[in-house]
Amino acid sequence: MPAQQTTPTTKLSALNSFYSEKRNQYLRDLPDHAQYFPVEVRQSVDETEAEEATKQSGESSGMPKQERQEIFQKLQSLCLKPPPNLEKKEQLYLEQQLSDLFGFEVTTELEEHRLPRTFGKMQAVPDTKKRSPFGWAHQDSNEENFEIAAHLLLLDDWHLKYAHYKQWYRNRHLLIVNPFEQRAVVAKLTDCTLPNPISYQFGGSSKLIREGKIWSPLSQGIVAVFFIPPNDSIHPGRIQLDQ
Amino acid sequence: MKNTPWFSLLINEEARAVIIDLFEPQDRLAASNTIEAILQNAATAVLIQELPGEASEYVLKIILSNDQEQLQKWLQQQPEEIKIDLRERLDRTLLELQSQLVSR
Repeated sequence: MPAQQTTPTTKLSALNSFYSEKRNQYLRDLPDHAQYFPVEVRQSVDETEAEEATKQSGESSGMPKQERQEIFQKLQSLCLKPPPNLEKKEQLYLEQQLSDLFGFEVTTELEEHRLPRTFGKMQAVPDTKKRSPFGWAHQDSNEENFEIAAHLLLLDDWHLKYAHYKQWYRNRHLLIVNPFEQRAVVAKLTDCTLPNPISYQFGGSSKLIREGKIWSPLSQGIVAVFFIPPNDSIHPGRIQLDQ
Repeated sequence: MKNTPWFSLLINEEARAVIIDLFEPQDRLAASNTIEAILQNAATAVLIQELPGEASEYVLKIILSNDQEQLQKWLQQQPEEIKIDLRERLDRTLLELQSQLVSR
C-alpha cells in the first residue's frame, strides 16, 4: 500500500488513539490482567537510560513491600488532611521513612528553606508556558523535561528576600510522590509562580504528570513534594520501585 | 541499551516498515516505539488467552520482569501452534493499524 502524506501531528495522534483503543479492548476482555497492559508507551533509549541512572539510587533501599505500602498509605492520609498536614515530630519520622524507602535523603526543609506547601494539588502547566516572571525556565531549558512549579510568592518573607530566594530555589531537585499510584518522580523547580495558585499548589510539566501518573482518577492531582539535598547520583526522572 | 522485543521474529517487518513510512522522518522513532507497545500488548493478550493457566502465569511473570532474553528462550521452546497464533494476531494488528491510519 503506498504511503500517504499527512501532517505528522495527525498521524502520531492517530497512532496513540489506536493504542488506547486497543488497550481498552484488552482491559475489557481480560479485566484480571490490567497490569500487563501498561498505559505508558515504551520510551526512547535516552529516556530509559536517564531513568536507569535514577533507578540505581532508588533501588538501594530493599524495603519490604508491606512496609512500603504502609508508608504510601500514611502519605495518602496526610495528603487528604487539611494543612498543616503534619507536626514537626511526625515530619522528621516521615522524612526518615521516605529516605529509607528511596535510598537517598529526602527532607521537607532544606537549609532553613521550605516550600509554601508540602502536600497539595498539581495542575498540568502547558508546555507553552516557558517564561516565568523570573525567566528561569526560559533561560535554562527549551526542551520538554521533568519540571515542577510552586507558587513561592506565598512564602511569608518572599517580599523581603526574593532576591536570595530566586537564586536559592532555582533548579532545586524536588521529589514528587504520588502515594495513590505509588509513584515518585524527581523534577527540577523551574518556575516560582502558578497560573491558579488558589486552586493548585504545584504545576507540573507534561512529562512529570505522565510519569508520576498524576493524571490518574485515583490521585486527582494530589501529591507530596520534598527537597532532595544536593546529590550527584539523583537525576530528574521517575524513581523505579520494586513491584 | 534497548532490548529487542521477544516477539520480534514473529513480526511482519514489511508491514511494519510500510506503516513507519507513513510518518515524517522526525516522528518515526516515536511511531516505532508506539507500534512496538501496540504489538507487545497484542502478543501479551494472545499468551493470556491461548496458554493454559499455569504456563500463562509463568510467562506473564517474565513479561512483568521485562527480561526479553528469557522470553525469547521461552518462545523458542514453544510448540508451533502458539507461534502461529502470535504471528497471526500481530499481522492482524498491523493491518488494522495500517487501515486506520490510511483512512484518516
